[in-house]
Amino acid sequence: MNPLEPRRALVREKIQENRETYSLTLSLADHDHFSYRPGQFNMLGLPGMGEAPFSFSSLHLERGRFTHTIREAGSLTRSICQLAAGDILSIRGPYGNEWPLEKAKGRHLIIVGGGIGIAPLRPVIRHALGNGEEYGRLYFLLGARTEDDLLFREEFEKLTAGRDGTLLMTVDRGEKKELSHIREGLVTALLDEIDVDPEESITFTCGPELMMRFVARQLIQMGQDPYDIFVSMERRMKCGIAHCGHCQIGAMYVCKDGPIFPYGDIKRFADTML
Amino acid sequence: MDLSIDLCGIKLPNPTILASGVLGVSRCSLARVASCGAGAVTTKSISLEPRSGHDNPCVVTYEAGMLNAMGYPNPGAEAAREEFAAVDQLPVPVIASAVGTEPEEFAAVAEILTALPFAATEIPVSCPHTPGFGLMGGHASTDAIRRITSLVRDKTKLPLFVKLPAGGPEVVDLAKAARDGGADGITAVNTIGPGMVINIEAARPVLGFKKGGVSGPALRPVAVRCVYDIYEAVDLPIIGVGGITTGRDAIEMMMAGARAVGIGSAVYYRGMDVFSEVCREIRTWMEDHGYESLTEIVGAAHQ
Ligand SMILES: Cc1cc2nc3c(=O)[nH]c(=O)nc-3n(C[C@H](O)[C@H](O)[C@H](O)COP(=O)(O)OP(=O)(O)OC[C@H]3O[C@@H](n4cnc5c(N)ncnc54)[C@H](O)[C@@H]3O)c2cc1C
Ligand SMILES: Cc1cc2nc3c(=O)[nH]c(=O)nc-3n(C[C@H](O)[C@H](O)[C@H](O)COP(=O)(O)O)c2cc1C
Ligand code: FES
Repeated sequence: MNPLEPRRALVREKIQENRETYSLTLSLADHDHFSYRPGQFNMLGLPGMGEAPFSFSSLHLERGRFTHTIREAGSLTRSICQLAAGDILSIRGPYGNEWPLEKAKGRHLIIVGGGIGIAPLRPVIRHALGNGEEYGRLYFLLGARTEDDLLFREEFEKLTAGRDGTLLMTVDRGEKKELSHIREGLVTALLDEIDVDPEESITFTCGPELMMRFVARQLIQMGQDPYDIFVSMERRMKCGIAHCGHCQIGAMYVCKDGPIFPYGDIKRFADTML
Repeated sequence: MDLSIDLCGIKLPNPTILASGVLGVSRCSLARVASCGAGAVTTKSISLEPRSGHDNPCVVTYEAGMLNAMGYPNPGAEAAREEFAAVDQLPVPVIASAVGTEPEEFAAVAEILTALPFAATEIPVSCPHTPGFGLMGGHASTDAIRRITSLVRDKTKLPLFVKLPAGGPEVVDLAKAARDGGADGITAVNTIGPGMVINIEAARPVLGFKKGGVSGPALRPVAVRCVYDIYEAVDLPIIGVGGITTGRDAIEMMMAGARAVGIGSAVYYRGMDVFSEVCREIRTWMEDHGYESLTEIVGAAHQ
C-alpha cells in the first residue's frame, strides 16, 4: 500500500456532539486492511476542499470502523461535518505516533483535556477504564467553554459512575451549578484537587497550547518530570510524512516524530510556541 | 576516502546537497539534515511575501516517482531574515533559494537574503506547478532567465546558481542565458511536467492542485541528459538534481558533469540518513573500481 495515496472512506454514521462538533464513524470503502493506535491521526479530505489531520476518537477498530470527532473550524471542517451516512471522503494514514500507554503502566494516570482536545484523549480514557488494574489512580480533568462543549460528558459520567473523584470538569461559564463535578474556572485549578504524588504519575494532555503550557508548568512545579508529561501538538500539515518540513517544532516534525511529545522536548520552544 | 569538493569557492565535506523544498523550512530542520550527513543544504524557496501554498494533498507517489504541488508555502523574506540569522552556525554551507514572480521580486528577495550568512543563492526559474512562478510565470525563456539572473546578480555578492527546468534540447540555451546573466553555477533540474495522477475509484486527480511536478527515479534519465548537455555547453559548475537515490545514481550524475548532487525525493524513499548512505555507497563504489578522487569522476562520461 502506498502511504501517500489517498484511499476512500465511507461515512457509516454521524452523531452531533454539540453545536459545532460531530463524530463521524468511517470504514474503508475499497481496501480491507486498516489498523491504528490511539494518538495517531488520519488526513481526511474532500475533492477541491483540501485535506487536514484528525486524531482518532475511537479506541480500536470495531467491524472495520473507526471514529473521528471534528469541530467546525473553517471551510474544510464545515464541509466534512455536513457529510451524511453513505458519503465518501478521502483518507490517508494512519500517521504519527501513539499515546505512550506502555510507559503509563503501574503509575497514576492524569489526563487533562480542553475543548476539541478531549476527542483524541477519549480512547485513552476508555482504555484506562477498561484496564484499571494496570494503572494506579485515574484522573480525568476536562475543561471547555460551556457544558455543551464538554465532549462525551455523559459517556464519561456513565463510565466513571461509582469512581468518585475520577472525573472532574470545568467550564468557563456554568449553567447548571448543581453538578458537583463541574466547576466554573480553568482546568488547571483541578490539578490542585488531585491526590497523587506527581512523581509516581504520568500525564497526557491535549487542548489549546496555552492550556497545555499552564498544565505542564503547574505539574512541574508539583514535582512531575517534564518527560512524564505528554502533549499532543497541532501544526498545519502538508505532506504528513516528514518530507516537506512544514509541521516542524524546532527540528522535530509533528507529523512523524509526533503529534505526541514529552513536554521535556517541547519546553524550550514553549516561550515562542507553546 | 576524501569526498570533499569545491563549489564556486565553497567547501563541501561531500557532494550531497539537500534539494530545495524538502525539509528546508527552518534553521533547526536544516541542522537536522546536516547532522544526517548532507554536504550542504538548501532552504525551501523563499518569496517576498508569505505564501500558504496549494491545498492538500500536496504530495503523492506512484510506482516510478513522486508528484508534488506544494505551491511555494513559506513564511516570506522578512520571516526568513530572523529564521536564518545564524545559519552559519550549521556545520555545512547553507544555500538560500530565492523565488519571485517578477524579475524585480527575485532581486528583492536575493538582496534580503544576501545580508544573511548564507554560502550561496539559488534562483529557481523552473517550478512547473505554481501560477505566476517558473514555467507558469514565463520564467523559463532565455530572455527571462538573462534578465532575472542579471537583476539578482546586481543584488548579491554570494555565488549564484540558476535552477533550470527539466526540458528538451533548449536547456542548453537556458544555461547559456544564465551564464550571460552572470550566474556562477547551474542547478539542473527542477521537477518535470507538470504531471497528473488520478484516483480512479474517486474519478478525481489526487493532488489538491490536480497537477504537480514529477521527481524521483522517473526523472533521473532526463536530469542526467540535461546535465550532460549543459556540461558540454557552458563552463560553469553544475549541481545535478533529479531522482538520485543511491551512490550509483550520484556517480552517474557526476559522470554526466555534475560537481555536486541534489537529493530531494529520496529523503522519502530512504529517510534522512540517505545523505550518509549515498556517501558510503559512493566511497565503496570508488574503492571497488579504482577511483581515488571525485575529480576523476566529474564529466567522465564525456569522451
Ligand atoms: C495531529 C492533529 C490532530 C488533529 N485532530 C483533530 C481532531 O481530532 N478534531 C478536530 O476537530 N480537529 C483536529 N485537528 C485540527 C484540524 O486539523 C483543523 O481544525 C483543520 O485543519 C481546520 O481546517 P479547515 O480547513 O476547516 O479550517 P481553516 O479554514 O484552514 O482554518 C480553521 C481555523 O484555523 C486558523 N488557521 C489557519 N491557518 C492557520 C495556521 N497556519 N496556524 C494556526 N491556525 C491557523 C484559521 O484562521 C481558522 O480560524 C488536528 C490537528 C492536528 C495537527
Ligand atoms: C515536496 C517537494 C517540494 C519542492 N519544493 C521546491 C522548492 O521550493 N524550490 C525548488 O527550487 N525546488 C523544489 N522542489 C524540487 C526539488 O528541489 C528537486 O529539484 C526535484 O524534486 C528533483 O529532485 P529529486 O528527484 O531528488 O526529488 C521540490 C520537490 C519536492 C518533491
Ligand atoms: S507535514 Fe510535511 S513534514 Fe510534517
